Amino acid sequence: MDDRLVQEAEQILGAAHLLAGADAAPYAVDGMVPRAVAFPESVEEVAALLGVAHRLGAAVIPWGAGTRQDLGRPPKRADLILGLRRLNRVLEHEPGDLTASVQAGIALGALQEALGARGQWLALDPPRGHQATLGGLAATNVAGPRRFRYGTLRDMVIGIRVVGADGTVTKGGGKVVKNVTGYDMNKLYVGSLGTLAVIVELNVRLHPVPAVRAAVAGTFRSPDEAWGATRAILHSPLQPVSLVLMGEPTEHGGVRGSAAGGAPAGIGSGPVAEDAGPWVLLVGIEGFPEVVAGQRQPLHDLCLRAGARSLTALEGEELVAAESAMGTLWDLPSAPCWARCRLSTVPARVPKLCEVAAGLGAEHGLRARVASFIGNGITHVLLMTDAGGTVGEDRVIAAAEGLKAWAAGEQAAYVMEAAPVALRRRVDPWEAPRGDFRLMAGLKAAFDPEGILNPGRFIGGL
Amino acid sequence: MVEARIVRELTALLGPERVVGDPHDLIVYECDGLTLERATPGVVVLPETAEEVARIVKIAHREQLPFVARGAGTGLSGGCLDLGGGIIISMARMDRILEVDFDSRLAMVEPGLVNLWLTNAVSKHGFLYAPDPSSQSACTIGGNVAENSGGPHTLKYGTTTNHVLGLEVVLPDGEIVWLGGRVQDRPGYDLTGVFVGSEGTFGIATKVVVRLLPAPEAVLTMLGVFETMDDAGNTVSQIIREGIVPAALEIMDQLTTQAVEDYIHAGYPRDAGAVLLVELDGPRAGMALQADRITRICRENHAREVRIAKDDEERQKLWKGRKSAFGAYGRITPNFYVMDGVVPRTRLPEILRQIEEIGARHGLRIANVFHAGDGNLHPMVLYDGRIPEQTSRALQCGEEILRACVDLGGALTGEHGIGVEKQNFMPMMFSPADLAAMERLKQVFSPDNLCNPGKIFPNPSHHGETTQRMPGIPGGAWI
Ligand SMILES: Cc1cc2nc3c(=O)[nH]c(=O)nc-3n(C[C@H](O)[C@H](O)[C@H](O)COP(=O)(O)OP(=O)(O)OC[C@H]3O[C@@H](n4cnc5c(N)ncnc54)[C@H](O)[C@@H]3O)c2cc1C
Repeated sequence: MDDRLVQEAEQILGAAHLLAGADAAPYAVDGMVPRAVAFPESVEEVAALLGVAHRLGAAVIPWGAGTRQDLGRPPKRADLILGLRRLNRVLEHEPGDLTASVQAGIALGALQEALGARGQWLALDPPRGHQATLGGLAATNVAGPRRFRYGTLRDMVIGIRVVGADGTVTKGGGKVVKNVTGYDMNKLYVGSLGTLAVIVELNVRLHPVPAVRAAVAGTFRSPDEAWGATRAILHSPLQPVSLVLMGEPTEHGGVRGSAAGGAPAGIGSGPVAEDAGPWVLLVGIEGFPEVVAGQRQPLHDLCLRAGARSLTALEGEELVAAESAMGTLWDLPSAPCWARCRLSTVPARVPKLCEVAAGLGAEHGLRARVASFIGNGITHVLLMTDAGGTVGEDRVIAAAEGLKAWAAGEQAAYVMEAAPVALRRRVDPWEAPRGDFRLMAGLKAAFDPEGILNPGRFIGGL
Repeated sequence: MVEARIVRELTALLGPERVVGDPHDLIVYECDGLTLERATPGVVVLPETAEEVARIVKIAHREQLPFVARGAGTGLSGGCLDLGGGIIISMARMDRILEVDFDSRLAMVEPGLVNLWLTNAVSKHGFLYAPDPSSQSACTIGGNVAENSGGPHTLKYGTTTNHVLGLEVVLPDGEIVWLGGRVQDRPGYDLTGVFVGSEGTFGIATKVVVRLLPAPEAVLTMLGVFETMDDAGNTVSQIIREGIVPAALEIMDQLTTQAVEDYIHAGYPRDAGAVLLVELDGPRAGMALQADRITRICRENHAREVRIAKDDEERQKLWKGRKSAFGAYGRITPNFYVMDGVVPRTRLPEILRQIEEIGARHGLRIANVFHAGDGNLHPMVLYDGRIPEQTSRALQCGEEILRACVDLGGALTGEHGIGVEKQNFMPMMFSPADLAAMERLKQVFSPDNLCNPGKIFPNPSHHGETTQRMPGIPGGAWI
């Protein structure tokens, strides 16, 4: 081994926690096999590794569980994978403070288990996010349906420890839920996709595990009708925790069965199941039993008045099944070519987005599926085609670029969250940079002047 | 002093009635709610549009003159002081609500809008703006953005940063840019998130997109009366431990309740060691049960009395007492110094004991009124500024209290900001490397350091009491 990067990394970690050569192949990022894969055990080791990478000008790819490594542009270079899975401890959990300190490599599922044993949870439910690490979740700031009530990690991270591009360890925020001491560095790093620093520790605010979780599921003939129900809920003092719209937009608004694998379990079996619409609105409620019970009927009534074709009250296993049905949008599709895009509009424009997706699907010979956290206006569109090769890619790209162009005209936000690498090499997954880009470029230059952290992956090639 | 030729240029831009240069008229701009710190401004201007703000900032930039935005001047850390004798840009005339969109639960407002006016404007439609600093009838949304202000209801709803979606900002070189906007999760760095709480050092916000929330169906306010502060504090911990997240949990000590009773007769007992104000809000269903739970917890912690406000009038009165605490102190002491430390909420009993000790050691009374649910304390050091060494002892008390907060795992400030007041305490919490990272962030927004300079970062030449104080005016008496 005559690679200095590998040699110096080995001096820091020992050979047992370092992969190189052919062993590094499973950690290829967008087809690029790294020179070394390192699994440090401590913040000090992370700092030492970054110090080496900085000195040698090696590009560093922070790696949590690797569940979202396909987000963003392919990196310009990928020399060192910094695997954080050994930094997986809960450092502190004080239930009376409703806060915890964790290392960045802990998986969300493991964390929830540890917290749940003491009646609390991190109020984050990204679909299929159990394996994802806290650091990775923070870097991507992805969230699930219950963001409607709890927000995203952006709202939950109260303190952070990072290792900068040159190996300097710094912290921001603290351990208390209310703190305006100095700048809010948490916000700088959360959502920065590992391009400014490597997150090694997070302090988060927690919530009590709700005593009861339930949902009202309504089926509707069109996104417009479902929006009618959503709108009524948004104007009401009811406090649902999530609002999810699911369906398959087709040009004639026709029925195609709601989601792949049919309607989520239990949904559509209500009183008017016969001509139940293809659009499902899943309204989550949780808290003390009496609070949940008291909201069910009013939600039911609002949905009916908006034209719901069927209504089902979900709890327990049925609720889990319905949520899991939504989650299939995040599973690897079986279609030969596909892309999952995330658009962010004001909630009222979600029906229009569904219509646009349907139109683009018809035009380019694609199937589209939608899962929208409609109360927040965050809509995921999965585009799929049975055509393979470049033909399939052409179709998906045409439709995705159509969505991007529509978003630009609407002042909406757009990103292609996931797609096969061959396709992603041919498009820019990010929306076009806006007027604030000069500040973003300034931040990248200030915090990673050599451009070694996830180089080129973020918006505008940051 | 700002050169006459620059004042003339500003006057040509805005007209004479929107430029304040007369030394007599400038006195009101010398300080904010923290009257301990004062600085004489160069000139004050009152723009009406973002474009005007941009042109003023461009002039400042060209002349390399420092400038600072000023909202209502209710800040409590000296944030809006013009330390460099430059330009104060008052937001007073930019106070319109530009748009409300209930379907999207948002509003777009100008920064000079008074916080409470927004809720007043949308309440008839069943909505509200959640962040509610006690100063909400005076302070501005722009000031709230700069300080990331909180208030009693942040326990459930979070602080300003959780309610700001986007900002139109005039950067320190005069360029107008949008950070964030109406939609959530825009790809890229969270510039809105870092701007909120930057204490006016990253630029001037000229439009703010905020979240609106539907007003809760029901609100219930309760008062728990305790013999000791420990009992009240333990009640708070138990409420949280049992999984109840009330909208607000506020504690007042006896010194405070007595002062408040003398002042506005809120109906607090005068002889109790501490009172706990609990507010529940949300769906009507189940609220009575929640109240029962809280009553039980209060009793288990030896509450002498648990009272539930029976109507809106009694509710308002209980809250008015809480929100008037600062004003009430003005009647029992010539001066007071408000701290804003935070501790993890389980450490409340400990910090309160330490605060008492610190006060006793310095021979000063310290009153406590605080956001107990958040662990955010507001110890009030009562002193008489006419007695020379009392002021410095009050400052000394403040420093010791904050050090104690930090030592317990807390923070220097929960909502009032660092400003000039606490800049030299920053090293208690942050290492030189931590501060260097913050400085690097600032440089990106403000490379010339003209935008509200001299704040937040340690400044060895500043020792508190920037200039002479005006004797005899009780701080907070004007609210
Ligand atoms: C009696 C009393 C009670 C209070 N209670 C609370 C409370 O419960 N919670 C709380 O958080 N605070 C509280 N405060 C503190 C204060 O009211 C807040 O910090 C408030 O946000 C300040 O708003 P302002 O408009 O007065 O801002 P100012 O004091 O005028 O300015 C504060 C800072 O904001 C900057 N700024 C103002 N406008 C802009 C803009 N448009 N763009 C960029 N920067 C700007 C200024 O430069 C300065 O740095 C209280 C104060 C008092 C006097």
